[in-house]
Amino acid sequence: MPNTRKAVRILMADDDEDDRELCRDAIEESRVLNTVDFVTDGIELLDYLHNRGDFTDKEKYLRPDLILLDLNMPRMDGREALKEIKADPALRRIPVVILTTSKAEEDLLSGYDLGAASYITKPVTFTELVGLMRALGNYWVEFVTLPGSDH
Amino acid sequence: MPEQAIAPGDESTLPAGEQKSLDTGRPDVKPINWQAIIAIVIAALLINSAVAFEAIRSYGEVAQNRTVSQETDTAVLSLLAAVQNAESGRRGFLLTLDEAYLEPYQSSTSLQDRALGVLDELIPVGNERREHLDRLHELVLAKRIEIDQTISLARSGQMSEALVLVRAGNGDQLMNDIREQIRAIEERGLQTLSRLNEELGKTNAKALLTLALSLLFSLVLVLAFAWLLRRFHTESREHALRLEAANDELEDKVAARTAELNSFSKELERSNRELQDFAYVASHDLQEPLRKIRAFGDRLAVKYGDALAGTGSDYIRRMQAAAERMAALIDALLTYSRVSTTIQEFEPVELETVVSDVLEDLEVRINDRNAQIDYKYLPPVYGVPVQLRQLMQNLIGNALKFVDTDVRPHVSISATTTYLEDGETPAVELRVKDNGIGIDEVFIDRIFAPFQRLHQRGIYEGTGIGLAICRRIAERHGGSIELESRPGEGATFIVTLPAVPADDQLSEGEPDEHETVADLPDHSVEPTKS
Repeated sequence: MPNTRKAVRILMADDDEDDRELCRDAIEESRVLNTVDFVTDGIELLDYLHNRGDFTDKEKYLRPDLILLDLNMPRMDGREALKEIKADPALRRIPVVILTTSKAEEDLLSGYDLGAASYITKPVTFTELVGLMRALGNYWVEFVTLPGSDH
Repeated sequence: MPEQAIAPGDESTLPAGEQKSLDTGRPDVKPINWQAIIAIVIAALLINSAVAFEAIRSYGEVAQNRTVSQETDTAVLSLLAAVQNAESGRRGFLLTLDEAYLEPYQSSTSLQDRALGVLDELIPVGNERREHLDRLHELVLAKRIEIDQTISLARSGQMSEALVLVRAGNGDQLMNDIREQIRAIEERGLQTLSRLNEELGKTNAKALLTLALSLLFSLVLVLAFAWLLRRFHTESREHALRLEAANDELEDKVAARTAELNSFSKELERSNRELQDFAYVASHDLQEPLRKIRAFGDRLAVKYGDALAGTGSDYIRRMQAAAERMAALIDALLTYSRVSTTIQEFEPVELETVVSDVLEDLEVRINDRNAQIDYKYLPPVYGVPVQLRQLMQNLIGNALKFVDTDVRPHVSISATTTYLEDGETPAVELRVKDNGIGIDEVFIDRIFAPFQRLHQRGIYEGTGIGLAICRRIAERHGGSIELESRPGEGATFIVTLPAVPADDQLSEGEPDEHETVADLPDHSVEPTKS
């Protein structure tokens, strides 16, 4: 699939190194999404978005177009991070897709209540993960008009 | 020796005395004998009344006797006067022979008779004066005859004979006798009167004494009653206080016991919750590494599958299958523990919608097995929608699963109204009947336990937790689940779930099953032809 579209910056927050690696591989394999960055918990995520702490370089750590958010993380979990993002007028327009292992209904409902754009349970097999990344890329890059950082 | 014989006797009386003093020391122990008190009061009142009655009767008698004796006196005196009148009349006539002198004599006869008649009435037969009265009667008649004789002689001119008779003194003698008798009657009357007066005096004294005694007695009674009432009041108050104290103590005990039970129940609840949380967290955390085993296994198979020899690929495939199965087990365990950990309010749930949704989900399997599923009108129940859906999914899935491959599955679902185990909460009894392989009675209890399977894994798929989840859901709703089955004759699962309470009805009027069940369409799901 030729990659002639504009770059969509993805920021993934997940504490699990294996998951991050698998996702990076799946994104590569999907050949739809190209720019992906990783943080390991909610605090890092907010630091990244606000260019604080280890992420002060505004040229390097650009504002993402889409956030993939794991729910269960140390220090600050996905629910809290989501709450803070949606409470911040500068950040709340960035769509957040929850990507988690939890199938609990309360997580699902509270995720949408807090303003998540989608709630996705992590696929079990790598093939499925590649499929998911491809679908995400198609959807968010092909069809969706995202608010730019200058909006 | 006699000293010794007396000594034990003295000793034996000592404890009795102590006992008595102990008893009197506690006024509440000695009961008031109300019956005896009432008997004494009544007796006293009766005696008082009798004495008073006797005094009144005595007064009456004396008064009566007084009147009688006065009347007697009057009658006796008028009798004497009449006799004397007759005598003086005769004398006048004998001296003058003038008939006019006889008039008082003639009128005196009737006066005499009247006086005698009165006396006859006043002095009853048997009275001591009666003797004198009878004698008086005779004398008066004799006197009258004597006077008549002399008057007759004088009228016939025999004046001298008449005078001789008078002079003979018979008439005077009779007169004296009459006076004698009258005096006797009067004397007797006076005696009686004085005796009566004396009696009256005695009665008077007695009545006064009785009155004084009655007064004193009444006073004592009133005081005694006042004392008894006071004592009774004090006692009942003391009793009430003691009862209150005992009540308080009991209350404290109950409160302490309740607190104990509460803390125990809380402890139990906490440990139960901890256990459930543990099961939930454990199974949740187990999923993570398992998912990675599967994901990297998948990567291995895809990326390096060609490089591995046939056996290597097979190992990976079997490893993947085992991991998949473990994921299913963990998933089931997670569902099972979540039945209890989820806190959700009950709400009215339309069973028909639940069943039709479940049938939609099971469409592929229904079509694969060419199954037929019927359900008659199912009333709404009260519960957690997600769990009820899970319950129906497991039951119908189960009914489809355990059917021999050469038999066309036929599941029928029906409902009747009943009550929960408490016997008062209205409930719905749901029957899910299949034509499957059935189950031996001895295994019925086991199939509701988690991870219990009756068949080898290869024959029927599944984790063995489906029915355990069903039981947990039914019990969490306050209901129950039972199974009626025999090998080869299919199985019927009977689930009891609470009906919608009257104050939480569905917004649209819920039809009464008894009246409208015939009008409602039966549902029958056949595989869609494709």
